Amino acid sequence: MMLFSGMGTFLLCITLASHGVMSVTPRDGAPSQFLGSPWATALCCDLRAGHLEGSGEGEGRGTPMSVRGHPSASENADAARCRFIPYNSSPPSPAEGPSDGVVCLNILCWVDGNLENLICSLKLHIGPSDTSRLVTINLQHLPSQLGAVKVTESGMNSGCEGGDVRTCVVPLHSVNSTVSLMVSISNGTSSVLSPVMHILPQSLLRPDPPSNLRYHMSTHGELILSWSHVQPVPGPLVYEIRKTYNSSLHSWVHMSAEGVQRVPLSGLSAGLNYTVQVRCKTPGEQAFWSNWSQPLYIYLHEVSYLPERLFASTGSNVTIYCVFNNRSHHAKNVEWWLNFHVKVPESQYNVINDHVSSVSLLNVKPSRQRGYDILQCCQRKGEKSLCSYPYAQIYIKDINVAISCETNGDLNAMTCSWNASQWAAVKFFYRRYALPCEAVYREENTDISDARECPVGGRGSKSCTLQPLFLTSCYKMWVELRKEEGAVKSHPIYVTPMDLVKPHPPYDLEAVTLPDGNLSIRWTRPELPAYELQFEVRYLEDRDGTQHKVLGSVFNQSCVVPGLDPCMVYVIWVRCKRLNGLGFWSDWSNPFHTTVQNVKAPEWGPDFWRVLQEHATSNQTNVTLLFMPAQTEEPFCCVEGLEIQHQTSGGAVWSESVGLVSTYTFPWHEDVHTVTVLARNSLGTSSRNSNMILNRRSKPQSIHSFSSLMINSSCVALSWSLFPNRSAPVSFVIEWRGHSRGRGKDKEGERVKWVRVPSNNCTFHLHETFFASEEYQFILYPIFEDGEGEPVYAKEDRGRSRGDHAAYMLLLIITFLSVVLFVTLAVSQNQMRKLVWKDVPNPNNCSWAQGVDFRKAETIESLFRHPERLLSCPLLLESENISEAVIVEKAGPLAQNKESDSVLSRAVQEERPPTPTFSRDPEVPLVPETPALPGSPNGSAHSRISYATVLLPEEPGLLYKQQGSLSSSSDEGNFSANNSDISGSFPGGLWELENPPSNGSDPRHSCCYNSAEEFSETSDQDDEALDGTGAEKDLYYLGMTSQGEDEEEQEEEEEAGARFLRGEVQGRTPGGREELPVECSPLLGCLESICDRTDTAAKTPPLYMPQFRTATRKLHRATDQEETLQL
Amino acid sequence: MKPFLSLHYSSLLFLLAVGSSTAPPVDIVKNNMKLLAETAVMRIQKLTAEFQISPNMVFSGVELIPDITLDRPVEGISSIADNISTFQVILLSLPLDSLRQINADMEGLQGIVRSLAASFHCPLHKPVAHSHLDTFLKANVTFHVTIANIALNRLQRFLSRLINSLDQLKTC
Repeated sequence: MMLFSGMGTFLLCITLASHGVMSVTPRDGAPSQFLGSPWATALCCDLRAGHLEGSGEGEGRGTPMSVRGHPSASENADAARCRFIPYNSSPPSPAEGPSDGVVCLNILCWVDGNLENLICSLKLHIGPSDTSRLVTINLQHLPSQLGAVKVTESGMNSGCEGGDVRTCVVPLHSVNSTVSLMVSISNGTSSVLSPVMHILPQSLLRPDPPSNLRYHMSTHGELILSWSHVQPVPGPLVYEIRKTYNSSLHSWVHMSAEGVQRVPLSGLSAGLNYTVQVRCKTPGEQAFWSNWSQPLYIYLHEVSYLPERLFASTGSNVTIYCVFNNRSHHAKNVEWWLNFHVKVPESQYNVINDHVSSVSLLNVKPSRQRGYDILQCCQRKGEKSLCSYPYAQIYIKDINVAISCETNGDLNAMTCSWNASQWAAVKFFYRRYALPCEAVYREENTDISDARECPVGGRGSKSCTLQPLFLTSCYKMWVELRKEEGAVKSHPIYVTPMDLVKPHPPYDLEAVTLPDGNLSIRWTRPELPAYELQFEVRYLEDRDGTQHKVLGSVFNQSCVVPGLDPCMVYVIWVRCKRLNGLGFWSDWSNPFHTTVQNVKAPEWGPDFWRVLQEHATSNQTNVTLLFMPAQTEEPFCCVEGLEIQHQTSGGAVWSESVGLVSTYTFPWHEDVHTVTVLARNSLGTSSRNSNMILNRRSKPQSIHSFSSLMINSSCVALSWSLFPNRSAPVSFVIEWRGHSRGRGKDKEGERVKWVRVPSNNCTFHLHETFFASEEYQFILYPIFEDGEGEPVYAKEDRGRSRGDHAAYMLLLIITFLSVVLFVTLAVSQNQMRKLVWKDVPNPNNCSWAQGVDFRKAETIESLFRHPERLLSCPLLLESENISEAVIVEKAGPLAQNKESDSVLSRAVQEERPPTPTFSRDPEVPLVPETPALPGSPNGSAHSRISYATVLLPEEPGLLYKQQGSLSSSSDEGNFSANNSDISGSFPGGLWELENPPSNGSDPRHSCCYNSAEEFSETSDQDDEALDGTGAEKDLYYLGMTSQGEDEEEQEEEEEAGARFLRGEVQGRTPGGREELPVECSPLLGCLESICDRTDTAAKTPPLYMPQFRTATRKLHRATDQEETLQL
Repeated sequence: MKPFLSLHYSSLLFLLAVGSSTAPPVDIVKNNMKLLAETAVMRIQKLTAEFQISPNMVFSGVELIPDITLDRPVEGISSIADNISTFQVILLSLPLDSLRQINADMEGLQGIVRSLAASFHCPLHKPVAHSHLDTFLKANVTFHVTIANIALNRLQRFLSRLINSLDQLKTC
């Protein structure tokens, strides 16, 4: 082996690069990090022949593998020329370093990151004189099982590239197999082969630290730490785990694990910040530990949930676990809350262990527009639940959110909005289809594009605008709530923008009032959308308190609204909508105000009246003018306002313009104040006007009498008379006020109305709505040329006493109860009859019935005849016998009704026409403010009628009446007849109603409902007549006959009615009624009582039975009678 | 941290603005204050109606959220400003869109309070850091529903008490 003295010393510097895994930062040719600890040694070979110094086995630094050589004879010679020396990155010292002809190599070998290659770096150190010499270095890879003799033959050269630092790559089959290497050095003239070097790659591995540290909680409350490796590992590794809390890095707690990448962490407390790290190494004593992993920070809340977020389908059952990291809390003491206010029933809880509880929610349903529910487990503490802020979220996949869209009037944008909860951060998505929506429904999978998120709309917006727009495309839209664990979607909607157009409103409105009161309106439709539109017109009068009116289904751009007031200003709006097809109404257009067209000034000023209000404190009088509504004189001559001219006795004159008001108030200071009211419009004021002279001086008295009669709720008759030889008024003004009953005459309760009456009238029918709940006062003012005369007052006359409401109501109630009792008894009787006959016992089975012959009627009668029971409970067969006859007898005369008598006599004498008249005697001087009231409490409205009925058996007529009583007919007359007995039991105006007798136009009043009153009056007269003529005791039936009976019967009835009215039937005092036992009604009859009563009836005051029927002739008679009574 | 910084800067700007302008009449300021507080209360009621907290639920671990029933009562203007500032930090940190308007209301209210402080010549505090609160909010953003719900309830209580005590609000 030649020795090259000129060759310098070579120093091999090994640079390590973690291949593909770690970043390589070359520094002096060496990487900063490497996969594992490298195998390193230094080799010096003498290329000069005969200069062999030292040989032997070198040791790689840091490797457990030594270099062992098994050279052949020639190789031994080469090997003798090479020797290993300790690795040194710096050039060997002169003592042992390269000299001329000696080549030294620093050899550094490592395994790349993929565990596929063994990489060796050989750095040359050549003697100073040999620097120019070319040195060739090869690395021979020998199979590990071959001996050294085979090295040259079967060795495989690994080419090394580079200059002073040669890098050689040796492929690896396995990291567990030993690699044998030899270095061949040649300088062109001489070469040398190093001893064999055996390297076990596995021993060179230094693994990466574990990554992706994480933890999770098991359903048993165990915290599991786990990790993984980015690069594959050669086999099971040994791990070391350390943990500390609250950044106290000097108090690590270590633990180890082998072969697994997860380990339970115990002893962690809630509320502490833990830091956890893991490192690893290959098994074996001399393996290298990896670096510590990135720290994992663990903070345990008092409660952990498993899982924290759960995505479930509608209708499924879900289970959530709750782990109490605070070990003082116990799972048995848990309460689960849903959405902060709903406590989950305890039956759904399950205790897993001391610190873990679970809850099962069955058949979960989508929450409102939120998409999730909040679930929390708390510790029960008395009545309260002690909770921590963590929670579990349950997402139900079908979020219930409604989406609505609208295309704008320009048809270039569509805005969709949704009603998601403010607690849900949802996103809007859409997908567009070229197909119509009907086709999309059928072919859901024909997506032409992916879902897109809303392009417009910022954070928190609940609307999205799509622009530009494909008008006829189908858009599928939905909202989503996305989380790492999943997403919930709303039900999609499919819309076509063209069907959702909200057009712009019509514009350029024009409206003209036509002479006939029609309003002609025109407008212009928006240009878009291009399809046909329909319109709606809305209008209202331009004054307060009026309602909108809408004219729909207008298909042209004009319309005529008929029947409007040409003197009224109207406000008009128009809107539009698609005629055929879907779409929205546009907004209403801008309002258009019509104008009133006048051709001349009004001719007449308004009529008006005044109301005076005295202010005692300020000694001032306020005058409120009440204007009659202005009447349109002719088309285009409208009153648009009023002008009020004042003139006082002090000489002051002024005027004031007001609008079309209904009242006007001014203070009155002077003695005489003249007011003139003019109507005005845009063309001038009226020329023929009314004026009023207000005068504080005494007023002339010209009205002799004034009375009123309320005919019905809509008409009051007023009449007056004047003093003779007095100046005649120009006109009259009737003023009336109504105030609520029981409210006093406070000003708030009064509503003043008035009417002007010509002076030639002395009667007036006032047509107005008069409420029964109010009292009215009428004032008649005579109006003279120089002012008002002295007014007179009259109060309403309703023709009856006012204090009887309660009594009438009570009687009505009693009547009703009687009818109910009557019907109940009738039904009970029938039921009892059926029961008895159905349950006739079998004599053979009943001891008491044995031997009894039930076929005999006497037997039955004897069995059921129990007189003592029938008295109190007359329900059985006897009832059919007891109501077979009626005998009515008249008792002694009643007290005279003198008042009625006198009234009657006056009626005959005065022979007034049958028009409504007044109770006040016209001859009695009228006193102002003391109105005469017809129908005083002592008047004819008082019922004095009393009825009594005596029933006799064996009387043919009784059967007739009995049938009538049991009849279920609803005929009015029949109804009265049916209840006549009952009414006899409850005397005192049973049939009186609140309505007073009026002009007889109401047939009900005449023949039925008010009959008690009528008969009362009649009976009084009859009594009077009977007193003079003796007792004539007849009973008059109107019976059950119908209106269509024959003439003879009618005549008979008429005759009877006449007698009835003449007084042939007498009334009786209430004393007679008291003798009638209750059980003697048709259904409660008893034979004994009836027999007794028959006798009694003959002695007691006479009775008559009111038998009512709707007979026209009788009606007239009663009406006449009533009118007579009212005189 | 960004919310806090923005709050800090806006407050500083407001301090400069207040210092260089004339304070409006106290009655107008109080009226605006009441109006704004009532508006915020209405918003909160509408928002929390969905998650009404049962009176039987007592929460722990949320002591950093001002609770008017536990903290000092609404007595002085400085206390009001501090509480509003704290609530602003909370509202800004929570990932709920609907809280943005309420936070804007609070910012307006804070401005009025500082205007009132200027009227009373009260010393204005510099905005204080809420490091613990900030850390807490960041660490528990996962559970923002509970925190927002509790914070809104406490803010509503605070505002209601503020509205009722506006007439007596005369001290710094």
